Amino acid sequence: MDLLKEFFLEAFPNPEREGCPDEETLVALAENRLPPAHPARFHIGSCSECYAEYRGYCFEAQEKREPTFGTPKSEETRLAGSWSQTAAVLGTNLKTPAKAALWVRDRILAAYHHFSRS
Amino acid sequence: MMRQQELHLIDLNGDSVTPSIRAAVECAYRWVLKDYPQVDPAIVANLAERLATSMETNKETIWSAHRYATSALHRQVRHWLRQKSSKEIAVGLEKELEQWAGPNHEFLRAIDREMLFQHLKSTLNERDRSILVMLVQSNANPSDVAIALGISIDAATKAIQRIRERIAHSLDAAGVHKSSNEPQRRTGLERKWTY
Repeated sequence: MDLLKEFFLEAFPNPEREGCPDEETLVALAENRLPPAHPARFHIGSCSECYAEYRGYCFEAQEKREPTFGTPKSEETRLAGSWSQTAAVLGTNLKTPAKAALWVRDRILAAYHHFSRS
Repeated sequence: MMRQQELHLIDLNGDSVTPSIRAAVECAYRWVLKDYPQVDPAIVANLAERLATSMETNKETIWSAHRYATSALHRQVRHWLRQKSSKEIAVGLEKELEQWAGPNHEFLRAIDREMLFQHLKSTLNERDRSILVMLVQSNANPSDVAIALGISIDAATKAIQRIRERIAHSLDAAGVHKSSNEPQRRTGLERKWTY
């Protein structure tokens, strides 16, 4: 499989980027949001530059879908910390992340209602 | 897992490059490391740093920093890999030539690869290649291919089978299986094509 990946990365140089779709289209292709038989699907098999970009967007889409093991917990801890910190900045001292998150949410809702009335 | 290097991205005066160039080069660096895990990250980092300096110098002429950085860094790494495999030395004596040409498996592999790529290019058409991209990239099965190309599952299965045969033929024609000292590569490839 590595050999075939290298085939696409090397065998179709297109330094002038002739006929290349824009970056948004490649992102959509990597996220599987393009309709069947979209021309970009055919293009990436004939342009090494676009194939490289497409692979990059695929890596990112994959990382979004399947975060690395170990990340969720640390991310949760980081976010929990930031809820408490946000609550503290807004003038309360709730140490429990869940309570802090609820308190911040209520404040945001209150602000939203206040500004939507005025 | 190898740790990514911290990139030191500066212009010719030693000042930090503009944020858009920094973001583009850092992203290209991350992607290239994934595409070429066999290359030392320190070498890629060095290439990325030089690229950022050159991009900063020529930023007026670059219309998309992200696109430019991605393709330039890929190109530079491939160039580095090619240079590594084709050692250019001046030889006068026959013995020296034999010594050089004999055991250089890297160089032979590079030639095999070049032949294989040429053969694949001539045997796979645009549609075959787009199916192959799906198989390589996302391990697609015939129904995924059918949905993506708007064809029937039967047609997708036949197309995959045909591609598999063409690749096997190209591998034979390029003699990859004869000289490659990494048989698992070929076996892995064939296993992947069994549906």
